[in-house]
Amino acid sequence: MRLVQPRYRAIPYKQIGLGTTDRSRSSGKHRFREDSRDRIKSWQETRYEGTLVVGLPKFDLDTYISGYAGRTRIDRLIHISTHSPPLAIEGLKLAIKLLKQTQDVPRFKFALDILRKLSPEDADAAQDDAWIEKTSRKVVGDTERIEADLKSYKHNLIKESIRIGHEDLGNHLYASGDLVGAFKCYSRMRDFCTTPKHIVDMSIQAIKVCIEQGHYLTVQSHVLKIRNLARAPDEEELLRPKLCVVTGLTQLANGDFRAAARSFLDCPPTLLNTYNEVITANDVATYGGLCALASMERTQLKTEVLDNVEFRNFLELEPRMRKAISFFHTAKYSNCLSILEDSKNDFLLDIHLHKHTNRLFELIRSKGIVQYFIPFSCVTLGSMAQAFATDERTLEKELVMMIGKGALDARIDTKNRLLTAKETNLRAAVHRETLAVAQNYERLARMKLMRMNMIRSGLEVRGSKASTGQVNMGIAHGQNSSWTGNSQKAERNWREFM
Amino acid sequence: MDKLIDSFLSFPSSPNISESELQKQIQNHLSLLNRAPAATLAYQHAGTDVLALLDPSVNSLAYLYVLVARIDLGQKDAMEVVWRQVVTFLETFNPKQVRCAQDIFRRLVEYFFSFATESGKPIIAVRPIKKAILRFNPAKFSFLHPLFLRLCLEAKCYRDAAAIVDIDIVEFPCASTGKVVENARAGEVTYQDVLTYFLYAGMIYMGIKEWRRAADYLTYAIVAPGSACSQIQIDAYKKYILVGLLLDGKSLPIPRSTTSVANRAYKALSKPYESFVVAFKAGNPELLRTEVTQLVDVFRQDNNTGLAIQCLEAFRRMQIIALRDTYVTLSTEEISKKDLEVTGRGGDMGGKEGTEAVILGMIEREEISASLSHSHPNPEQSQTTVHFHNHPVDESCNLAALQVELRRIMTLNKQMKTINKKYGMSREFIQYMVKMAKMSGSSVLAGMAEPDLMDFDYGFSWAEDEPEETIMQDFEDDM
Repeated sequence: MRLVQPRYRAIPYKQIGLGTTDRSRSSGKHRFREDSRDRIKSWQETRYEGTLVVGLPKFDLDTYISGYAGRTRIDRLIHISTHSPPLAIEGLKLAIKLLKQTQDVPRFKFALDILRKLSPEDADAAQDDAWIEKTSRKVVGDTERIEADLKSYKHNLIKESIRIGHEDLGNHLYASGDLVGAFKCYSRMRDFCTTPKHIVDMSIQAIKVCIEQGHYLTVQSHVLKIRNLARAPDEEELLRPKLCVVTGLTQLANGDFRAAARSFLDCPPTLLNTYNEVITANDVATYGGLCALASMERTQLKTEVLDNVEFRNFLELEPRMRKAISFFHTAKYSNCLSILEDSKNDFLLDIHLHKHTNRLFELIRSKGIVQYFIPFSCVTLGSMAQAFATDERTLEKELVMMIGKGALDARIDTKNRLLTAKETNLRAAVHRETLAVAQNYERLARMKLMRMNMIRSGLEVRGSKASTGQVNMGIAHGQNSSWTGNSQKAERNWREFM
Repeated sequence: MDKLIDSFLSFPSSPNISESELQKQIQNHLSLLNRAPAATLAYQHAGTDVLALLDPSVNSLAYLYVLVARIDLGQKDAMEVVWRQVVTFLETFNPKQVRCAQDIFRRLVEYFFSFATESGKPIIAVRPIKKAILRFNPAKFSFLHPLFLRLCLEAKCYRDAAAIVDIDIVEFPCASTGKVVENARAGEVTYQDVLTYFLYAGMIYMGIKEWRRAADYLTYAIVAPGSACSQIQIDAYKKYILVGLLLDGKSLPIPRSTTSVANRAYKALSKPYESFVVAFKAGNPELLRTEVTQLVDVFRQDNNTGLAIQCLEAFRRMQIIALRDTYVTLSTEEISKKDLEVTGRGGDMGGKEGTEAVILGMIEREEISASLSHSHPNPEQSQTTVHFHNHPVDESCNLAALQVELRRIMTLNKQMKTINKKYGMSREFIQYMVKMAKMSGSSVLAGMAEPDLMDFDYGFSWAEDEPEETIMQDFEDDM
């Protein structure tokens, strides 16, 4: 989200002209998490994409954000502010307040800018040059100091000191908003790691930075790195929750909901608040629940989610999610869907979920329809629409789409407003298939024979280099001496068959 | 001259002589004919016509030489004069004799062919040439084949051509080795002839809407071996794509045996066709329409406009067939609302009545199994509903087809076995095996040195004891 030229809309949707000074803010290698978009999108665009959140979410911003720690709080606040008009000002003010306690100058400027665009008259929107000046100087000074330290460590060739020197620099850069630089520093630590513990520490740091940048491939490789190390059981206990959620987040980002659900469900309840700078226990419940709903059968939901002793601890934190899952299990799809619909805004304002929410909802819905239809051979569209709280027309469109994709094995009777299951005749299908295979075989055999015969007759397609005269000569030669002269060519052809 | 005629008539000495004797006589006769100057041969006796004295079915060689000499000397007008005789000759000649004078025969046919096409009546030449092909072994490839198909395409006599093309497929494996010998005699069959023959055969089947067979023939052209790619192959491939769409609504894959050179050429040169396929498969009429407007020129350049138009007509039918999987009943109004008419002919084709007519036609041709019902006796207020039946259970039909297929594959297997044996004993294969053995080590060589070739395992197996499934597997992943 490097700000090149943010076009932003004020709360009363009115375009405000923008200066071109924005470029300076994107200077250097400073990057913010969120995503790789080059600029902030206006709300109009966001709305067009379907990611603008209309209406208020269920949570209270203060309580919500107090669950997290570290950079992710600011990331989340900024995400909320850019996606939800009613919460924008409040979120930004909170973010600015938090940022003032850090040394992340670029992002402070960024947040301030958005706030100025939204409400120019606000007292908090005033440019705090003194703070910026002071902090920037401090950051530069610190960077120089730590780099100098690192150089002297390198001079002395003490591995441990060099490692710590890199880590210090990484931490410092991370705190001042240079994620790319921080990641580089953490990666450099690799050569100076002497014990497995060092590698684990390094990887955990790297994973955190990568998640904030959205580089999930690197996250995956680091997770593998940790997994491959031998560890003491108590250490294992400590690490497992983090690894589980991190894997889950990676799979979620890749859209592999089933695997993500598994990872989140595997997460031991010892996670608690230990990983607040990335994810809270509530999030685990939400992500895990949604992914499970989207990817698992009803019986699986019962055995693997509701009856899962470890995951129950998480679900208790999110009673709505728990209710939704149990409604789905008991086939009360409309109740389940309405609960999810109520919380949709929450999901859309979550930095990890917002991209997948619509897809997840779609999956849950169509899975509900399939599960609903299983016991029936024929059902009226009316009753079905009621069960899914829509009208017949939208339902019909949805059904047509699902049948087209092959998700639902049924046909629609538009005259009698019915959905009927397809009758399959396995015997006939096998016959048809056999016939097709046989015909295919015959066709291919003939084709290969034809090809063989052409080669044998010397009727190969030749490039323009070999003139037709030569071609003919070749044939004539072949006839007279019954192929002896062509043995070399023929040999090549044989090899082609083999 | 009279002496010449006497010797013409004295050949062959008697109708039932042995094969070797006949060959000897033919050779003698040929040397005599070759020595005779054209002017002498073409010379018309006062009152008596040499051709009237000769019987084309007995004195075929002499008849042939005289005809060609006359045409050579008399040029264009001569053809008109001797037209009748040429036709009689083509219909009745003795293949054994003519085979020994392929080059002269070819000249005659080419005169005949160019006369027919230049006079703008290709249809008059179709029947005689067809009979000529049938007099030889029609399963053997000869220069007559592509010529004949071209004639048929020009005359639009697809049915006549189909008779020949059908034969070719069924008996091709037997004819295969014969082809070599044929080449030896004709001397001038090139790969272009073969490729054009395949392409023309494909076009003949397109003419009678036998898409499957058309695709088969085009495949032969596409997988033709060699170190280069011919323009004929590329044209075949372009048609192959369109035929695939007509066959079952998707593009057929390029067979795996295709040479890499050709494969690359196809991919590079058929881009517009690929995008057409994508639009077709997407099932979105709007997309297809825009695509077509961009491709009109491409199709016209490649002379594929006719096929493309048929694809567009098929688009609606296929979309309607696809509806069968989604709906049990649907009103024609709904179907016409989907706006599947993409041929751009306008009129009422896309409307309710037009759609109904199309569906009616499809039901009559048994393309779908469905029924139409009107809700009201008055056509003004009536709502027509299509009721798609379940997939009909045509078990007996399928089983019968399976039986036929079984028999065909069994014959094919037998043919393969003979070919396998023949090829296994061919000189170059044995040389190859010896070379391979040398490479892999002397132990195999010792076994190879065994002179008993009949016991020799030919290495690639369509052997008797091979279970059929394994053979199947070889082919399965190809298509």
